[in-house]
Amino acid sequence: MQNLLVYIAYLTRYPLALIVILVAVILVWRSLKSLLFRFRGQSQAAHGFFLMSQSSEGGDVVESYSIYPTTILGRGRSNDIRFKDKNVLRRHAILYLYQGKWYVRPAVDRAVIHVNNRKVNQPRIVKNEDIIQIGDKMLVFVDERDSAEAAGQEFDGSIADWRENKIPELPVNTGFSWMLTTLFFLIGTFTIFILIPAELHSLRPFYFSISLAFFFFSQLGYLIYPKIFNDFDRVIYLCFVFLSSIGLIIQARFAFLDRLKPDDWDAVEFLDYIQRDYLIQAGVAIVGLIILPIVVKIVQSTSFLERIYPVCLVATPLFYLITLFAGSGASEWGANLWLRLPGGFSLQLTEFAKISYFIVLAYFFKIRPPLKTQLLFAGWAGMNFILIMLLPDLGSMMILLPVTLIVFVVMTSEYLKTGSLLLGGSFIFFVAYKLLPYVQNRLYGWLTLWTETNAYNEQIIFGLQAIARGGLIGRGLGVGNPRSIPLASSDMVFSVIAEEMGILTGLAILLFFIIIWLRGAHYSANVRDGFTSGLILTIATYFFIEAAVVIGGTTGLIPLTGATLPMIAKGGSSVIAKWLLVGILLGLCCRDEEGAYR
Amino acid sequence: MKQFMTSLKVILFGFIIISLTLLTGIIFQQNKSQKLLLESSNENKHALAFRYSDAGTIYSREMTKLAYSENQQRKYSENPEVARSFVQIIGDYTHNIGNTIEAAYQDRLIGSGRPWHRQLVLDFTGKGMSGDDIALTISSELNLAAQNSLAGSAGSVVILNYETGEILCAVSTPNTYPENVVAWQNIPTSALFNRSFNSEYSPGSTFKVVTGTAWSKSNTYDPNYAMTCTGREPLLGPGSVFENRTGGSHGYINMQGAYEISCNHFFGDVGLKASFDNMEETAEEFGFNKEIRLGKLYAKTGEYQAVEDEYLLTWQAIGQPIDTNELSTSTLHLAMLGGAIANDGVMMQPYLINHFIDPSGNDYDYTEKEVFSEISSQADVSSIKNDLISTVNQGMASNASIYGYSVGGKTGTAESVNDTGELQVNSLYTGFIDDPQFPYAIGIVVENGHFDTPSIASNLLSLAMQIN
Repeated sequence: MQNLLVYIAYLTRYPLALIVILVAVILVWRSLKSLLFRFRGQSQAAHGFFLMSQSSEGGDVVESYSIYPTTILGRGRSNDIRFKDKNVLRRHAILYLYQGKWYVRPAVDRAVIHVNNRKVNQPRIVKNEDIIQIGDKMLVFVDERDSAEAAGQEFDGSIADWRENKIPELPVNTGFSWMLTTLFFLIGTFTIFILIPAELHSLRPFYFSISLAFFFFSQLGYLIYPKIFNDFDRVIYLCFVFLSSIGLIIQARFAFLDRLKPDDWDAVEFLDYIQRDYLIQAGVAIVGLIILPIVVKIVQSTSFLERIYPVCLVATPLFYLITLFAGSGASEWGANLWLRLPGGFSLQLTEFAKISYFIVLAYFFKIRPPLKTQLLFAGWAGMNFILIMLLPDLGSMMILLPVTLIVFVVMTSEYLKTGSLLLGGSFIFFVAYKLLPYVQNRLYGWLTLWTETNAYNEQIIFGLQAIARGGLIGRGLGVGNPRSIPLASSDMVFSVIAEEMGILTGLAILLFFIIIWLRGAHYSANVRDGFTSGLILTIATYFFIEAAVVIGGTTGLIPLTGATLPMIAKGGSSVIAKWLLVGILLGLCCRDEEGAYR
Repeated sequence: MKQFMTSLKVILFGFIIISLTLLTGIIFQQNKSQKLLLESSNENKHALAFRYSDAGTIYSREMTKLAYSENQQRKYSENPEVARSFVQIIGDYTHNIGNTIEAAYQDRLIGSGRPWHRQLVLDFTGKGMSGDDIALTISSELNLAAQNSLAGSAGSVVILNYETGEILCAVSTPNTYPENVVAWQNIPTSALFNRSFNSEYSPGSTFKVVTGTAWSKSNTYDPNYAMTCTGREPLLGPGSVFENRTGGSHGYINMQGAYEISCNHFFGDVGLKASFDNMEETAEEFGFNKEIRLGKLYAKTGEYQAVEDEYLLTWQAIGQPIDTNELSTSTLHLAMLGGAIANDGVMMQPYLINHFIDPSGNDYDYTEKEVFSEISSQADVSSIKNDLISTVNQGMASNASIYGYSVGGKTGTAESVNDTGELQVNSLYTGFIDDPQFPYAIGIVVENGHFDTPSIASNLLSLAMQIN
């Protein structure tokens, strides 16, 4: 009987691999199409608002200019509004929408702007019929709605009023994908359930209950949240639930299969240990699902994130400092990132430091900041990076640096400066390589991957061996050999998935993170507020970069960093932090801009 | 906004490139790992024991079990001496020896490397979880006999079918029992090194086969050419080759006679007549400087680099490298060398896996014979073959003769420096049976002494004929 069950479990590798790749390919294709559609429609200006230009003496109106939620004015070719006036600087002023109000400020310190004949040095709110003077240009800011109301008329914003969400969309249908996602979870859970060995059969009800809880809350989210939250993005939600399902299945595999009872433990003690082990893992995922709507609601309807910016500014380095002085290692393989808590629990503050770092990053770059502000941010970020290197946490460094650069380049379009920062980042890595032996060892291990097995690359080699054994659809859940890989359930979990569920599942995991980024980019282009746009882009980019760094490291494409695969790898703090980020991301994507701005 | 969208599009483009690179990179790395990493050492031994607990069986030519899994344990040949004779080829499930069938064919043995359509059929007939069996071309009886014939000396023997490339025998000594390898204890020095496939010996006079062939290709070739051997007097003056045998010169001698008594003067002379380029070209036609793989296993042929110095070339022509000149061969290569002469200048690709057997008992993936290298048709290979047969019939390799069969061969002795830095003499032999029913070639190396390698060849080839 047991052999028959094992064989049935073995055969489930076919539907599992088929489902996961099918869902990933369908969603990546639809998300890409939707994003490109969004790009094509994005050239629409902020309807109901425009600038009119007068001659410098006043006189007749000569021209009107469409404005965008962030509009750059100046003499240079790349500006949204261009004036061929020698008194106008190459990049002179920025007109932008933030929290429902329009602001104007100089693009550079030496740019002179007047609003209603008063010089402006700091961002200043502009209202209907305010006159903005840039060089010799006199521009009247027009809010058609206010003008219409003042004239006792009704404003017709029906054509493509962004405030009424009329910008064309290409919806991504998820019904079929969700059905497959559900099927995947059920098959995977069933497989683990029947594979649980006889000596652990008493844990089957526990495993069933936990799985049922996850199933219930994930279904609830998909079916109910779109009804509670307008514009709730089911694609992003589905991707995270799918990733989390893979995580739960593979972590259950670690928890219940191939367990060797230590000789000095009795059976009850052993069962308790396994139960607790899996409860933490699955429990945080369920807690994540439960807190998700709360986070989404807060982010969607309030400016809580903007308000906690000063706290985040202090908290980020503080979290790293506390970890630096009070942290300890999880094992000989890892960095000292864990804070030991009473009751045998541990906390990884650095995971929460990432969230606060992202809030600060998005806040700084919500509008194209002047050089002084950029330098201020660089100083703050540099301080954090130094602390990260001291921990040492190469993984975080390799993730936060590219995320920062990408957000910087998108939000500022400063390509030259980004190039310089990239060189600076490379220099930091070079210095780290020269100064820190562990960086040298990691690089040496990676460079010798195909020529020798040594202490610095055996983890990757054993992982690659597992990936090699897995082939296209894997060897079947429970049939693999994860005990040959150090840190199989955390750092190297991708290798185990590739061995037991096949390289197709491995590729699909990467595709899910690509889908999340595509949807993030979609909303980043969609929303009008710089902070919201920036933070969406930051979080979506972070998930993709972290997955790419982990998968690249595990497969030997880049040096191994010690970062873990989001939503899948074993972890408590990291999983909770990731679910918080998922909630923030989903909340930002369906943020009630109209409510916030007006 | 315009810039924001432009930047976002730039980043999107970058992400698509990164994503495609990653996706293809993952597939590439998996593929590369399947070829290069499966046999890496240092893995967790418990994990390996679990992995091989239900692995397929490795059979000898006679279909005797050389490695098999029973009661969740990996076991090796029931006859410990047979197990010992195969140890560097079969290897061990702990991968303490690399470049072995157990390590390199791990995927097939555990059932993860099959063609997908075969796997699909097996999966749905209830046999997909079992590994494949592997049928080798090597005879356990022959291997055991070869191991005994080396009589405790360090050395190796390879016998192959020169018409197909099948390896019938491959033994390397010293060796040890698989249990010692698994336990990593009682392992004699260099016992894990496979001398059959991976050795690098100075070829000594066996290289005269190449020199004679090279000369036969050149414009100066004359089958009736004869010259006077001047004994200990160097051929071109001090620094060139001389005859180090006691008892004077060989006198007036032609090529057949030169092969029979292995005359250094004659081959030094015809090496010069053959020219540098021709020597190198011919050596490469004989497989020197070529990479060789036995399926997934690494092996070596030989190294040869002609030096444009006539004095040194006279030494190279007799198979003795001087200074840093590259000139080496392996035992496998010696067998291939003899086989190429017997097979009219066609050197076949050697192989040691005959076929795989899936869990349903179906034989598949038979290794097909293919040509490894060919000697130029300008060469007078048949004349060289006759000369080597004559060497066995009436020359220095007469002990290799087998009653009733035409046998050819060439002995060699070469000085080399061993691991401890001492000078030692190795005895080598390359030979063949010139018979369409028994197209066998043999390569032998016995280290550190003058051994009667022709007698060993005669005994083992006779046994090979009996077995087959």
